[in-house]
Amino acid sequence: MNEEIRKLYRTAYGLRKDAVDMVYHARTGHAAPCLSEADILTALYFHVMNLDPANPHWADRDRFVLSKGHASPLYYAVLARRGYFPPEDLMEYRGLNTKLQGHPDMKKCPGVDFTTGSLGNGLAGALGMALIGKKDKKDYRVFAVCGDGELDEGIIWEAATYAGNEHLGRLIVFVDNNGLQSGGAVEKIQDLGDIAARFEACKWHAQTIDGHDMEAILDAVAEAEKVTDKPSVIVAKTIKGKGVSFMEGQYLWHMKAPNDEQYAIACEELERKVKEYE
Amino acid sequence: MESTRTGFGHALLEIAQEREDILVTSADTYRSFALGEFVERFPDRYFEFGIAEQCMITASAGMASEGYTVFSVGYSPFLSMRAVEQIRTFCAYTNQNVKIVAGLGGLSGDTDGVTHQGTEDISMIRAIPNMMLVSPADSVAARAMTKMIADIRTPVYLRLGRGATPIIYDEDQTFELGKALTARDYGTDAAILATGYCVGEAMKAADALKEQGVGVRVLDFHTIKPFDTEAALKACADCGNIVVVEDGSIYGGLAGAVAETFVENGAAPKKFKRLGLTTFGTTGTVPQLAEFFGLDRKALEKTVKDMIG
Repeated sequence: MNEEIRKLYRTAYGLRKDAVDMVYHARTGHAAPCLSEADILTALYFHVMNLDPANPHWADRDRFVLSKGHASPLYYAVLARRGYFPPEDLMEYRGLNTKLQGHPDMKKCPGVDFTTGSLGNGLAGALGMALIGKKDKKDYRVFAVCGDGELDEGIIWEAATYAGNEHLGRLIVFVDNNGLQSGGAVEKIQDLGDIAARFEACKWHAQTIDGHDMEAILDAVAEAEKVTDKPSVIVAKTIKGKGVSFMEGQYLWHMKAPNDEQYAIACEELERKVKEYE
Repeated sequence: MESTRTGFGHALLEIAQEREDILVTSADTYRSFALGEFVERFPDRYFEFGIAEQCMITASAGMASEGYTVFSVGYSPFLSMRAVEQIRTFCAYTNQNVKIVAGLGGLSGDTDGVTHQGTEDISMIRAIPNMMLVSPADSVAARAMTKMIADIRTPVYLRLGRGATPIIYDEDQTFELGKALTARDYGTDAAILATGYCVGEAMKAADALKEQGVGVRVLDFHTIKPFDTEAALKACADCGNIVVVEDGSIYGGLAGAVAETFVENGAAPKKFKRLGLTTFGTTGTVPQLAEFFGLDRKALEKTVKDMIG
């Protein structure tokens, strides 16, 4: 494993620790959905995307939309650690009238490109940005991360259809396919069938990867970039709650804060992982 | 006779020739907004979503976030209800420069029936912070107000009709956003506060009543939000007898806005009557429906005469 990959894993586990800290401190929030997306967001923000945190509205930046907006703590941690605002602000999460609202708010939080939280809409917002990028012949890419549960929403497929027909090669979407949603297994709540095939039917380029394999994530983005005449979906197989033993694969941790004892265990496990990658 | 949609489409074509930031998003509806020439001349500024209003509105917010002025055209029942969450959360909450252009407002969906009549649109949209709600009475007003809302950078709901309706204003009529227009001022026996299609009926009623020696003021609330509190209160103080008329729900509609304003400001009309819908619409032409639901000239005349006894 090269040093860059090792560093990305280290960062991802540090961000997981931040997210758990925030949810513990707020006494509420979506802990487990943050842990499954951590490696993807880390790869994008700390390796892939062209950004200027000092200038969040830089016209040529790559755009990012967290369509599964409930997994905001990890996103906020990413933005803070990337320099959009001081990390000590993270404990504001869910506080009164804070910039770190329960779900990401583009008008309140520096670095957030699109307001999300109402599931399914993030992909349509990303579509709007990608359509403008194409119209204006811009080089910026638009990245989005969707949950698998939110693929139930009709708007996802409205947006997917348009993006495919418009050949939006600079739109790259991850599906954080952790297989669990609020009420249980995705396939039991509403079986989506073959997610990659569904996007392919909408004229997308599709890949399926291990969403906790940092090299696979970077390779998939590189592969997606080679496909210039189709939007890309990367179905990332992930584990809900990844990195905290008692949250892993447990849908009841979809929205729940750890108690003192659980928090201590989570911290110990995540800090051990950070050390492991030093 | 001309549709307010035509007034809108012509105005937008004029604006688009001068401003490259004007975009149109469509839910298979461009043709019904007289935008054929826009599409032909500015193909790179026309985005066809197909019959997918929710996606269109959220994506329009994404496009506006890139600095564009987006006119999103569709039908009132499908925008104000099916896509109301997208309007609220992604356009209004984020204060994006998206103009929601809604044909088939009120009963104008006429013979298509209830599915195509936006009779709750005012109530739905009025509750949303940051939204301006504009409801022009004829094609002249629609043209003028399209130009005015293009110049502001906040979200607006432009409530339009469908079929051709009477032209009630001269070409040189001026409008001010947020200020009710005094369309008739024949006296202080009663005031009719109206919006959209019903303004023309109110003007006809006022003309007829004038012949009978009854002096009526007609206010055109072409902007429902922000609401012109001053004009409403003045009508109450001057005239006492107040009739509100609209081709949609009186619950939360213009009538709701007027009643709230009166109560909150301690204004007590002598008599107060709301003409509008308390039920669903039904199939019929617009004039037939206006008569059926008691929103036309004759109903207004009778209401005013009953009031002044």
